[in-house]
Amino acid sequence: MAKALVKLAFRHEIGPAFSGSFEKDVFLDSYNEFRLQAQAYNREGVHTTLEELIASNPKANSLHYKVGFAVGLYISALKNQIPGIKDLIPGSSHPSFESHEFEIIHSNLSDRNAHRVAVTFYTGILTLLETVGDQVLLANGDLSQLPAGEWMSTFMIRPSTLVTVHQYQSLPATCTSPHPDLAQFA
Amino acid sequence: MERKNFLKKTAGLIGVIGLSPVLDACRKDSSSSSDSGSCSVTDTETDGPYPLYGSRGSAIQRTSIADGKAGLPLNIRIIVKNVNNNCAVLSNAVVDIWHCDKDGYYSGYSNTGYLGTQNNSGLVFCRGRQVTDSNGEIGFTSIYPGWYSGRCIHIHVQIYVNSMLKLTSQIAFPDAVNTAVCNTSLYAAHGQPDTTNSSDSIIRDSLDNELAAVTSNASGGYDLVHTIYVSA
Repeated sequence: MAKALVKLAFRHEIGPAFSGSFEKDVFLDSYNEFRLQAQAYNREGVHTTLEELIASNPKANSLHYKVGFAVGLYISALKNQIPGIKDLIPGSSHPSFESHEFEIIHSNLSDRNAHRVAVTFYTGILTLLETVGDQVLLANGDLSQLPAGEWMSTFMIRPSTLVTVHQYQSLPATCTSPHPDLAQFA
Repeated sequence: MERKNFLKKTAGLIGVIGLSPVLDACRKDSSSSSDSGSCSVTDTETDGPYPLYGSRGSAIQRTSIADGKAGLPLNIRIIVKNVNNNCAVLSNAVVDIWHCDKDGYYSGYSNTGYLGTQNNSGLVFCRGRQVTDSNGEIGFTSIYPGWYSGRCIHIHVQIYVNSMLKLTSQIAFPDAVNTAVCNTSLYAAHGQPDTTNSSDSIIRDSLDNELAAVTSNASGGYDLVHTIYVSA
């Protein structure tokens, strides 16, 4: 039944219209940290945006991960739960993240409302079982060897611009033939 | 580099007008660790490609920074002093440090070294941030850094006062100690550093104020003590 093993990436974008405590903490602290750290690349004080800083000094591109570590404890406090995912699938199995990556989408030293960041959460191995409409049926872990007829906990995800298959590994043909619909996720 | 550049640019002029003794006096003062008399700001250095800082949610605001990385233990004690206050110790200064692991790899993102490419995104080993106490001091426990091609063994440091970046600099280790450390079993696989302090293009002209005192201790590790001067 299993068609492939995959790892998903969930991109969580955070802007001034944050909705929860995690988003609030990440938004406010990452903006403060951006202002703090941008000083190293703005000694003359002539730049205001991230883009200007990077254009002036390519080393300023490192502001992405420098600022990202400043919110590391907030991400650790998630205990590998991807924000919003658990609530979308109440009472059901759901994916957790194994790693993450922080990115400043845009920022402005003089306008906090222009600050936007993204945290991309990467899952561990998931087993891709079926496509159902525009959603994919998945299970946590590698269940490719699970005998036919066994029950397993599953969940469904609708791929989008914010949820994508990050890594893909096809399974041997002896398991099953790849479903034509899966080609879009490879 | 700022002070160095200033000295280079002005040395000729000063020589012409006969004030070289004054310049010499300033250079001696800059390396003084005394907390009385005059002192000069520690030299500015490149922040390298790997700095980062903390916040309320910071993963690096801590004293133990090795995160389980193998290496000889290193106790780091940094004292911050203020050239604008008669070289008195400076409390409440934020000190950020970062250095590579014993094999020359930094945490934070993917980097390439003698063991190939390591993706260290999301890891924070060998990075720390502390606020100086009433004695102007902060302390970290870490491991003795290794090296990577083209650089002597060093620690990066940045000092903030009232959220203003006051200094980006580096801390060097005595060459003889580096040699001894790199001969130990933990470090020997990588061999000796290909760059000594005097051949390091970034730090060689700043050793008067960027070279730390490093001594072995009874625990089999090393103690590093270094004073940094800022204009606050």
